[in-house]
Amino acid sequence: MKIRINTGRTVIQGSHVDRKNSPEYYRETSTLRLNPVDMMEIGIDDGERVQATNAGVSVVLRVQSDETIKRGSGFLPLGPYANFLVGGGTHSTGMPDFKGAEADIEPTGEKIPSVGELMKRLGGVPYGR
Amino acid sequence: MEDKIRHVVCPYCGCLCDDIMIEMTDGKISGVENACTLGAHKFLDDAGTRLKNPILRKEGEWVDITYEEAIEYTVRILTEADRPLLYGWSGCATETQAIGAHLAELIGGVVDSTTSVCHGPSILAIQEVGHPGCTLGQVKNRADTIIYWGSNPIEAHPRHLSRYTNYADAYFLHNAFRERKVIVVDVRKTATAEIATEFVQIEQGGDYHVLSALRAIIRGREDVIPDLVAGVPKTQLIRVAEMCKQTKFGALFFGVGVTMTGGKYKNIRNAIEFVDELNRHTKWTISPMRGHSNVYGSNEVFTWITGYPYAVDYSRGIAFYNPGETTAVDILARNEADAALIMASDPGAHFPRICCEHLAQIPTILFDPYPSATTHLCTLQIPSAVNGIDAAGTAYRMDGIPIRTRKFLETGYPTDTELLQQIYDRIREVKDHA
Repeated sequence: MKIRINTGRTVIQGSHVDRKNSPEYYRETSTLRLNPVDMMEIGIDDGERVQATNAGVSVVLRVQSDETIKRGSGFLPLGPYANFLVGGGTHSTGMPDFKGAEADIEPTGEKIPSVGELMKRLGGVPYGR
Repeated sequence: MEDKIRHVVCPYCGCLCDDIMIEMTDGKISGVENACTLGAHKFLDDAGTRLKNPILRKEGEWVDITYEEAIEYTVRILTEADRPLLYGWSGCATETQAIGAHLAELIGGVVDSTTSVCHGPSILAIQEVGHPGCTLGQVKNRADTIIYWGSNPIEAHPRHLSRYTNYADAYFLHNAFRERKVIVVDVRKTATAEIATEFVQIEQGGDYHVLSALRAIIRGREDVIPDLVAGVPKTQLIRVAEMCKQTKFGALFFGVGVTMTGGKYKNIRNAIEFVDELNRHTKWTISPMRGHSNVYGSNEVFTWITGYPYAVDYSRGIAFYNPGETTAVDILARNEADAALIMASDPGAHFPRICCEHLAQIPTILFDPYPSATTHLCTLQIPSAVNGIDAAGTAYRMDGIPIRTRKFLETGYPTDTELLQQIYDRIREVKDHA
């Protein structure tokens, strides 16, 4: 199913923004809120995982049903998971399309990478102490 | 021993709340009063979570190094770089930002703040049509109608409503809470939408259309409006336009919901012109909901020093400004930068994937007290004191009011102002002897 992912601040994301390697930040920023009807259509329940793919790049996310989300769209709190699917074009404004990433989502049993693991996929070296 | 410190300034968001009370027990923060959840976490979760010393990535491993070694490494990298990017700055004091602007000139680099990925488009619009704004004190004491457009202050600026708008007392309103109307325009029913007098739910990317429709109605041309505009019924648009015209003093606040969607700065230009239209009937103002505590300060400081508010490129020896070309995301996406200095921000978490990939390829020096997403991408991280906790400096509130933050804790960490000054002085020395 194709959805358009909106992003934004949430109280939990914002509260742990200085502790991006904490379990709270990891959980919040990797949780995609979807319309319950869309979830029923692709056959997933709260807490289960989907693989979101855009332009050949995929990231695994946890889903949570949210009736305030319109069908065909999703809300993913701002952070490294949301931006993994955002392209680098800015239409000559300096501002990428943070609010409109399109993604194909399908159920998966894969694990959600930690922030450090996600950065490793981008060429980084995870720091953890 | 318990101690209560009053009038602490919260260094989290652009509200810069200056009425925080910190409770200290045996030299540690044990309680916070008046702060919102975001601010309280900033203070309460600080202890024990900072890096203890600079860390350097060496052959795929992280090693502890001294501040002296970290300064030497930074001086070498920035001196040798052909296209250095100096990015971040919004969590730094203006004193540090000023050194950053001078450093960019010294090394022929690009200096850009987080503005380019938050309200950069707002500045582009203001440069086209001006900014009919005012201070938050004016809004608090006079505004009887508030619009939050593409902004969710309950989660992003939690005390904005209680200090300046819906829940604040007003000098010129008899019963502010009852008299004030709050209109929320958003693509989803946010927590702020729940407390709105009128909630206008628009389709994603429909901001420009809805603003244009409202302008037409206020001009008396509701006949040209279709029954539905970007998901909003015409009847509701007419009702909202009427509410705005009946207002004595209105304040429109817009968030990154408007700057980040399709249309970018053209959306903001339309919003400013909507306010312009309303000012033919009554008094309205418009202001961006600035995110970082001192992002506004970075625009002020860079403008004093370079002539431009952000995205300033010194590679030609003079200041050159062209957002879309000299902005951090574009420079990284084009694989152009050969070194990066990241000041108190986290592109690892907040930049598109392609930009992070490039940061991981080049020498990237990060100033941040805490391990972040960028930590895993950088080659060197230097922890410095936190402005507003163990460092004091000047920050600009979202309405352009400068506020001096307070240092109330002694930790022994050097400030980023001291460290950057040392780096600047040494590079200057190298350049003078070259």
